[in-house]
Amino acid sequence: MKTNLLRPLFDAGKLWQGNTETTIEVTDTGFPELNTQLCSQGWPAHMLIEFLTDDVFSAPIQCALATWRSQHDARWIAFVNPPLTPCTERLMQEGIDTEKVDVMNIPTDQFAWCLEQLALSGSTRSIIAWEMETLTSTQLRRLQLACQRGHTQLFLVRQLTHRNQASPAPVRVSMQSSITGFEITIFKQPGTNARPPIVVPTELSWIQKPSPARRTTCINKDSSRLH
Amino acid sequence: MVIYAYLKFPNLLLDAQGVSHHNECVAIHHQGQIMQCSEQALAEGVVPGMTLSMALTLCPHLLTKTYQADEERRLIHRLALWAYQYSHQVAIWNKGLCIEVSKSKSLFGDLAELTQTLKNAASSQSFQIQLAFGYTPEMAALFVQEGLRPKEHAFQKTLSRISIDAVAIPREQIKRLKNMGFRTVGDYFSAPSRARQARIHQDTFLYFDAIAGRHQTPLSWFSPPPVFDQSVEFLRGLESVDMLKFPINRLTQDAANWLRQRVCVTGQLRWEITQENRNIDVLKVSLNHPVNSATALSDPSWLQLEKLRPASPMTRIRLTIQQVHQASPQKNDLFVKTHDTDRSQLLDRLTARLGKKCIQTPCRLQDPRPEYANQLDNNHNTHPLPHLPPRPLWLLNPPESLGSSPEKAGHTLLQGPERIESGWWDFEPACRRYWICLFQSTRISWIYQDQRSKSWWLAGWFT
Repeated sequence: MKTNLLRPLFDAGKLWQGNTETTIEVTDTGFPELNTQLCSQGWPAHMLIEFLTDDVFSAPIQCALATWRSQHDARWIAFVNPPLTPCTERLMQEGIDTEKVDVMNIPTDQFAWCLEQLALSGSTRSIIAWEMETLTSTQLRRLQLACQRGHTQLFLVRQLTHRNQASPAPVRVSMQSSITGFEITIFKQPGTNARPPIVVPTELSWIQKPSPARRTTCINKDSSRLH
Repeated sequence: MVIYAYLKFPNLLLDAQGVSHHNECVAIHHQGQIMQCSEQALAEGVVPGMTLSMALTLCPHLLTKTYQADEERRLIHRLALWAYQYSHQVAIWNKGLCIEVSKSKSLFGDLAELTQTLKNAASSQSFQIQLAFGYTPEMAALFVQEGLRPKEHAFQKTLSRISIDAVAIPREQIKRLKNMGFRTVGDYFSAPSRARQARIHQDTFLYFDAIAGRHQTPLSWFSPPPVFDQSVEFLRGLESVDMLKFPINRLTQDAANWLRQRVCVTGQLRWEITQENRNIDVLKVSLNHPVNSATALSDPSWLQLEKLRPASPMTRIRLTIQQVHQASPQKNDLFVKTHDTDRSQLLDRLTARLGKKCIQTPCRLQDPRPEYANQLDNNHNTHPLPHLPPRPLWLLNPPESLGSSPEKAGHTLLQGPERIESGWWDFEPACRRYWICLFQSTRISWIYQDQRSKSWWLAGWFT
């Protein structure tokens, strides 16, 4: 009886049991090794996803870019309070239609309201936002509900210190960067238990390629002459 | 046969003054006489027609307002605009509204269903109505006066039972008809027509023909005004901006109805807030995309108006819409969601609260210098990307100085150089060599050396 009453919630992916296959809509992460760690083989398409990291520049945006590359959705994407100015040419090199990208710098007191509006509107497919001031549990819950209503994916980049605090976000991930890649630990996700950390390698082959202008030797020569 | 509805607004004068009369003793007076009063005032013994001094004697705490014909006219026009959504033939008649409803029956159902629709709509707008139907406006008005609402097949039968005292003709004419032996309207029509015509005044004869549906009085039909201009006044000044939310919603709802009736959209709203100290705050709201829905009009308006900090209580809010465009039907694909509408409403809300510069779009200009090529701007078109070496994810604008040696700043050169020599035409020439570097064995940076000054600069980060 109880199961029947709860069935619509299970079917909608709003409620799940541990160690069960859920049928939520997901988007490819762009990293096969990360897909295998995630329930339903990808990031939930319409949920709040927390990235907890001390490296706000690298790992979160690489994850978001890899996800966006694999999405086939004509709606907009948004950068909210990015730590630096995103490079348009790089976004174009990544295959992103920059005419459908919003870059927003929002005052701290309007941050939660703005994210909620973006998530609710239905015109934004994915958002990456860098938390400026700690959001309350209520605000996070509202953002999760807004994502579900507006069919929006929200990557919220937060400080690693929030890891030990409870959060209503259905997916919580901690990240640590290194030169060869970044280590991801998925410690909360729908339908399954926490997973061991995995290392996602960064694609740096274009740097390691031998090039006529490669300067391990030339550099020394140049620098010895210059300095 | 043509059927008319007559709508009477029992609290028209009180509503026109913007008076909250539901829990207060309020009366409207003109030339020393009470014209209309609230239910509470009636309970205290105040009645229309009474002198003002008598009313104040009976009810010392009676709140009195002077009758203002302009306000009454303004409200009746607003009500006509509201009624226009139920029929294209609406007339302001006899301090009420006359609506031709026979053609509306196919859309709104029979007269009972139409009655319910009108009553529900009126109560949602917070005003009371009394209505009845008839073959002529006079017949419907007589039924309203008598508190009757017969069905269509019973119009004549009900009419014939109405007392001759109830008809809207001068008292001496009524007396004369009674002397002739007519006690009810039915008695009057049972007499031969020629005999009646010979004995009574022509106006009275025509009026009786009108209430029987035999004579049509010409009506001047209402049409929506070319400019939307409505206001709401507050009897007691509003101290807080939050209290404006309800009047804003009401005005934008009316504006949306007006736009829909004219098959128009607008992108410009003009709000005026009058304060007790006679200061007027004017706020112009520009929308990113012309709209005609109440929510799309009210949300950006409210987000801008809530920033107001009035110095004294607000006594009036006024909305004007002058610029309208013809609405074109949306060309929606059956299987595609209306993202454009959502997007324009989102932009309206965000720009209303955060300003126009809060949202920027990355664009690429045709300039070899990275700081000029990569822009955040809504006004430029993006130029296609030529074949370029990899660019960093993040740009530093302005670049950060690394001094004369990148190694000393922790940057080890990995790959390069990429030579950029440009800008000779705009007096900001750039002659640089860009390098991809490893920063402190953890991050990949993008730096350049200025070939003129030989100084090194950090331009961006790859990771």
